Amino acid sequence: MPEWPKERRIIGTAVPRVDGALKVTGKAKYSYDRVFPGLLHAKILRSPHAHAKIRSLDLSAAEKMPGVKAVHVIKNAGAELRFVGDEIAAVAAETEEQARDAARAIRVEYEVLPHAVTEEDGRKNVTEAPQEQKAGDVEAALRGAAAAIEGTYGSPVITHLCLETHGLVAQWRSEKEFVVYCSTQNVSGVGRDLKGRFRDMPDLKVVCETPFMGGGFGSKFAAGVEGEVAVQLSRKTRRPVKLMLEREEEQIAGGNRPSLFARVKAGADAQGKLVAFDADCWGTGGYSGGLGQRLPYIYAPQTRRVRTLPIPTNCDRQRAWRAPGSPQASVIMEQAMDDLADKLGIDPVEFRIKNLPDNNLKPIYERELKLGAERIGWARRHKRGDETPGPLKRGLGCALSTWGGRAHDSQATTTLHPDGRVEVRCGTQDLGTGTTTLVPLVAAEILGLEVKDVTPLIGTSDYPPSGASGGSTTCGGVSLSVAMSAKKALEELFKKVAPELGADPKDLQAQGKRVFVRGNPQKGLSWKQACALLGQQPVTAAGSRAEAPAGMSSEGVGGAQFADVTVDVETGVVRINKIVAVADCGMVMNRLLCESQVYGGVVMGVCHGLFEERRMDPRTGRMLNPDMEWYKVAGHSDLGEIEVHLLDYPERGVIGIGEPPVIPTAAAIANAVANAIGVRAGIVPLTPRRVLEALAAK
Amino acid sequence: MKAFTYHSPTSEQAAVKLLGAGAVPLAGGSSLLNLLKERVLEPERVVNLKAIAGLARIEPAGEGLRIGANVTLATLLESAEVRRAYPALVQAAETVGTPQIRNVATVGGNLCAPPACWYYVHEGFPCPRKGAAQACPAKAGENEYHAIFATDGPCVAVHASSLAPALVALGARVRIAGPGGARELEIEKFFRLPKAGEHRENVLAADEIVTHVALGPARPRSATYVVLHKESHDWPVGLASVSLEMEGDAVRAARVCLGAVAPVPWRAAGAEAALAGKKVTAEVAAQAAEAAVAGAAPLAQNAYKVGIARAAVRRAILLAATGKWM
Repeated sequence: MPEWPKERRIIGTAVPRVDGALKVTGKAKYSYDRVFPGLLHAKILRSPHAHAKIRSLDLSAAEKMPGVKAVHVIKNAGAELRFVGDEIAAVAAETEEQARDAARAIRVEYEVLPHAVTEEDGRKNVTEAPQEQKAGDVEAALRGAAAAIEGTYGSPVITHLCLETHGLVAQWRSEKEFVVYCSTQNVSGVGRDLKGRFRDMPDLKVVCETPFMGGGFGSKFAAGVEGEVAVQLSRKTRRPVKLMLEREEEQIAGGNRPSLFARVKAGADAQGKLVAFDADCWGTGGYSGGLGQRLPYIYAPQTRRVRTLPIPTNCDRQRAWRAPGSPQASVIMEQAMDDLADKLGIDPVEFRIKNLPDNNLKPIYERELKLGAERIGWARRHKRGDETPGPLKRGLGCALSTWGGRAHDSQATTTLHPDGRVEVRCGTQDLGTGTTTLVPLVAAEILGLEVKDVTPLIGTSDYPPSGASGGSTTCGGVSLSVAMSAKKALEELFKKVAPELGADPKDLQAQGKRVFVRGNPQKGLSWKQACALLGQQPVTAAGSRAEAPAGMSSEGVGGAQFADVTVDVETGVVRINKIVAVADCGMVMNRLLCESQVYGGVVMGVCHGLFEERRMDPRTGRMLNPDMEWYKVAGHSDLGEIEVHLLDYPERGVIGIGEPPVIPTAAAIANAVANAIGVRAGIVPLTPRRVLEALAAK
Repeated sequence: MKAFTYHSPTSEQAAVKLLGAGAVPLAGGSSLLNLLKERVLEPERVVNLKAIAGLARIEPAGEGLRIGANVTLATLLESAEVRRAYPALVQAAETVGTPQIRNVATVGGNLCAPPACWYYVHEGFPCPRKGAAQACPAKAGENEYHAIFATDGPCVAVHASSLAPALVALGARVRIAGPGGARELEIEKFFRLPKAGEHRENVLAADEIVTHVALGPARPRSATYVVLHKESHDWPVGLASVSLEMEGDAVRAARVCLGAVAPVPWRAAGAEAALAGKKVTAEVAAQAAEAAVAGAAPLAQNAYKVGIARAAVRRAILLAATGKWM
């Protein structure tokens, strides 16, 4: 089995989204858009208390409300409610308004319990000692360092804020077949999971259909409580049920990223080598705990101590959020690195290069830092604190990222029809990353066709199972399974064509919509003529990632980002002038959509650095900004110029790029702000308040 | 939201008759819809004002202009006459919301906007502004975005209108229609600080509506400086409107009004006095700005806003006087 073609015609070029027109014209049907005859609408009653027990639950009034067809209890009397928004019960009614009113009519008596929703309040309840990982005597190393710094850095909890909220439409197709149109990044998994909820119906077929979905970022791996509720209500009523969360529900119960703060001490020797790193970390992942701690990040000081205290709070449980743990680790590590470089009087780029671990990414980082520095104008970087008169101060900063991105398990089939049509089926989904375009791109490359000649069929659990879109593993997994299935289908075709051409199948080649004898292009058939030799039956071949030769994909990427900002020291407002993102993802599959991933990562990174913060009211335990009015995300005018450079390393095979570009942006911005104003705010997002308070404490 | 009946009267008097207890007026709806969805307001009747004839026009009146309450912010921004004569109003209006919001939000609606307070606009936070017995939750709570003046009152939300400070600085008048006919008053008198038991931020009775805003002679030496965390779709963290009447190169009279700092547009008499009779220099502007924030009494989390207000006043003065602040 050969690896990727040496001469690539389509792989690595810029191929526009094959479904782009459907999306921008509104023709694409998202879960939110599904409407069926007899559709019922479901709404969930959620806990108004941050911590409580259900004393009693009375559904009678709700059941009598106009339009109500079914009620489903999620938590019974005696159950504990762990956060404001925790699910209690749900109703299905003829209209959305009726469902909403009926859910409010459910009578619940609560035993209200004490709560804590902030790190500060939650900390008082923690009795465990922090988790500790260490190497060497960090205190001695700090004492012996030529220069040492201390600082507090961190990121608060932020939410996923998917444009399409969580939810689904559940429908019985027949007594034996049930389908969910679910907004998920795990089509095959959701199908399997929901089938497991009908244990009493072993013959039932459950299908998850997700041809289009509006963002997940790690929060949509399962159908969740809303999936369970919609399925049960649909089962009770035998009617299609739509349950899509409203924006407020999405904000309080649709996923969030844990906070991470750290008090850091770090030291370096006179040569600029990081010799000691001591971090006292804390944060909250809601009621479930879990911080996804990744410190020390990228740089590996020989002597180190990292203590981590997860603080349980009465907030929704954290979920994976694009590059889990890494943006938070980056904000801490990279700000400490800059503080130390400034203290030593070493250029931050040089300081980073000195402290890169000696592995295969080192030359990649060096190349990226050089290119990024050149593109941002690093040569004009001043020492910490812009001395230009007036309130507007400009600064530059940088930060690095790393990620795995190893191909996940994936299966696919390629079908060649006698009329020349090609279909590729794969139970994957397009999270927005362009998987729908990747499938025909890879198949066309292998089959010697154009992208438009291949029909991608993805987004349903009916197709061969493929992994969840998480961990930046989809591009690798799907590329490999599609390539393998296409190769096998082509071999089947060659077997039919070879006798016609009086050649051996292994001497045949497909290129330019023709099948011919290698080295003798005249001796061949057009693609259509070749497929006609299949007779009456199409040929279908299955392929999987597991069969792919090792070199077709790999893992481990490095990225570098640079930020150029202007800070108004009288108003505390930070404006982005420019972000330069240099990214590595092994072999670039689709240059256009690969760059799109990087742009998108930078945009989310700007939000992390300047705007996003979940704000909880300590007294009531409720979220203060469960909306898009007070929960701030960047608009176009907040982004400045974004410049993307992709490094192409085809010899490394495919590596995912979905997550890494979001990692270093906030840290690069924070470093640029400190370079501009001469003081370190430390905690992002860098709001006017944080910037001005840091300046006031100068 | 709670079910309501919808009415769309075509005259001021018909509208006024439908208003009163249990009713809310609807203009652009960009604030009201959220409050209905959150059940902050649970009216029996929603009375649409946009069908009232003649309230969506900008027309000459006396030495100035009369702006109908139903004029959208987008229409206001398209008016060459407003742009020429009242730059402070344009500079305020163009920072409100987003293009889509400005396409529906009206001048009258903006003046009567509910408080920009995350406790007020969300269900689940009882507060005196909503008629609850509880004390203002922002006072001892999360008040980063709240008032820095008049913080001893029963409500420390900031007034949500960006147009209001500009109109105060421009010396506008407001026409109000009610059951007894119409009345006019200086726009400054239209707003009032919340008092115990009286939590509206303006003098409108439940059965009154704003029908027009009247502007006097052109004030080309006027400006508004808005401080936004985000460039659009954000509430200002500071705002100042300044209008200068000049005599030669000295200020004959100045009007200075701050926004996003108090439950009402906050007139800065100290700043006005500091400008009167002076030539506007960087130093004079800085002194006036200092006077404008004298007496600020910030809450636990918003001392940073004092500096922002100071900068906004100084910059607005310089913009009004010279067209640039740097």
